[in-house]
Amino acid sequence: MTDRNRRTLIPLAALAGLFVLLTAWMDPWRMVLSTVFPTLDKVVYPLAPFRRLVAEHILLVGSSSILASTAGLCIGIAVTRQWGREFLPAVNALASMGQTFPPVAVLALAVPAVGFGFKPTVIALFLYGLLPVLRNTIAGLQTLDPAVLEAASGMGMNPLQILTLVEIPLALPVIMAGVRISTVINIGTATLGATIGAGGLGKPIIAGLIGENPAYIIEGAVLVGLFAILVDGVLGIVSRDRADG
Amino acid sequence: MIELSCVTKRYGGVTAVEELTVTVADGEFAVLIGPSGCGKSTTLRMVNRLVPLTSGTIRVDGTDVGSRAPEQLRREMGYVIQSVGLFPHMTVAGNIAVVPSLLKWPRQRTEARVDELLDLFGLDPSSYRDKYPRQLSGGEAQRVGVARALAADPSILLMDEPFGALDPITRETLQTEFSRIQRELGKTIVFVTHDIDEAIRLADRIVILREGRLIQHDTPEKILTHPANRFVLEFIGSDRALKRLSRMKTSDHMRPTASVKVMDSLAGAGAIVMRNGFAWVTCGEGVVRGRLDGQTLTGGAATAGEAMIPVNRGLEVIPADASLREALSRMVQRGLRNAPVADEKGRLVGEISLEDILEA
Ligand SMILES: Nc1ncnc2c1ncn2[C@@H]1O[C@H](COP(=O)(O)OP(=O)(O)OP(=O)(O)O)[C@@H](O)[C@H]1O
Ligand SMILES: [Mg+2]
Repeated sequence: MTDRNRRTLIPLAALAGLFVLLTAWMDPWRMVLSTVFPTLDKVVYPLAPFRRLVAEHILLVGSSSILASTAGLCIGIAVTRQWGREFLPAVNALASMGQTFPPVAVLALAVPAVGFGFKPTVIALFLYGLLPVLRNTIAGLQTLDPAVLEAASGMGMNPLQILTLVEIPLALPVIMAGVRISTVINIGTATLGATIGAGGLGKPIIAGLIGENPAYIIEGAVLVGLFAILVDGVLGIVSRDRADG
Repeated sequence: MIELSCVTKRYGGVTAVEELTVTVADGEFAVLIGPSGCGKSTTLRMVNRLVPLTSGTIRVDGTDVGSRAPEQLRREMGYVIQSVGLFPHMTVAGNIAVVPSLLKWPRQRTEARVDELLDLFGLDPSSYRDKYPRQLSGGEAQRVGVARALAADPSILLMDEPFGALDPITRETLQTEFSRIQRELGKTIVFVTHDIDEAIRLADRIVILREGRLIQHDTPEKILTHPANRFVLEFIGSDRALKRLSRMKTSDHMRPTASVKVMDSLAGAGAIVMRNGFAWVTCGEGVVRGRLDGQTLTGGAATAGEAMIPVNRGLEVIPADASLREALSRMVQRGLRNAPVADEKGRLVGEISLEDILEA
């Protein structure tokens, strides 16, 4: 582990502690929010404990991000192989266009296709999270030093060995940056899942918006924010560690 | 042995190599040379199947390379390129160990081999083994590049302008180092360059190409004395006589010489000087100290050491393993007709004269 990583580890651990505390324990919320909003009769979201909402959120983001990263990596590898190269321009165009497509629209399109709940949200998050991974995988694999690749094949590595021993290790920092962006975006976007009944930390936010209860909104937003910063930090450390060999 | 017969390579309408027939014998150092774009790299890369042939055949040790699995074939041939292409995510040891690990050598054998190669290239294993390529100088990186190519002890080495990106001093160091290593290892080498001096210095035989075609295939001496045509003549340049001298070793052209000791009496030394015209004066271990000739005898000194004209050891003594070109250069610079030749310890082993060089 590098010095830089060791330095970021302590604030990250503190943040993780705070996140666990605020997830498991309602009292701090009640204390702080009732002084901030003395006129509200309920300041803590009553319909589900935060640990359940966090668990639902992790499930949404975890499953969609794992799927998106795997698929993005595979497609990115495929279109940079000799046999898949003809699809590269099309995939590239799709990836950059898809990025401009608002996530709510993806969600709206997914509902009629698969109905309400967990599934359409995972599909929407998957599609949305796929793009950064895909784009970075392609970029990472295409910007490798040609001399290194020539040396690899000149030494008698077969295509699979070149991919696994040379290309992926060298492109990994860029690929990991894509995974990081994709996952962090999905943590935020997943709150929209609450609108179609997927649960998660979007629930208090939506409830707060509808019932005009800012305390609920703050609860959801703070937990989502902490979660996103935490995941970003962890993935940052993982990718830096790899980059430093 | 590498045999190219009627090898042709076309890229669309461009003919990169045309009907090339060349044989490289076992243990031979063959240099491919020619102007940029004449098909040197293409030829080299057809040997290890990085580039497919359009027509013709290439045999290595009698087997058509087209019938071999490319990966298998490449693991049996070292390949070195100008831009080195070390794997930046692997240490020096990891880079050198690539082919051994592809061949599934046991770890101990690989480790021993890595250290042996680092030693061979003058890189201390304990300090270089765990470095990353970005921590190496250009010269060190290319040494590792060549070591990596030699890792699994291939009998054939293909090298595409390996020293082309290095500064002149480093390049010369690596050339010298590499020809020493080659003398030890006796590999069959195909080496691409566009530096004629490098070719003359290293090659057993030179293949001159122009626009994909063979122009001349001969020893450096033959190419310098009998260039096949104007193109070759222009390619080797107007100083071809000097270039020829750079292929010749002083020790092969020197002649025995007369010497006296520093402590010898001048009278005794005088007889030798009279007979010979002059004599070199050496001290106890045979190290050259000075020179006696007719004029120095008349000064009235008692010993040869007192009478001699001192010789500048750095400038006026020719090392036995220096080329005749270097010998000539030193003699012209110091205005000498004769110069003593000494071994690496400075001991007199002979003498060389301008006449000897002109007749060489
Ligand atoms: N992949 C390729 N596609 C099309 N043409 C090529 C390709 N590789 C080489 N050529 C052409 O083949 C010819 C020979 O190229 P090659 O690289 O063998 O030259 P070279 O002698 O190595 O030159 P240099 O000294 O500049 O390295 C050139 O005209 C080049 O443009
Ligand atoms: Mg070339």
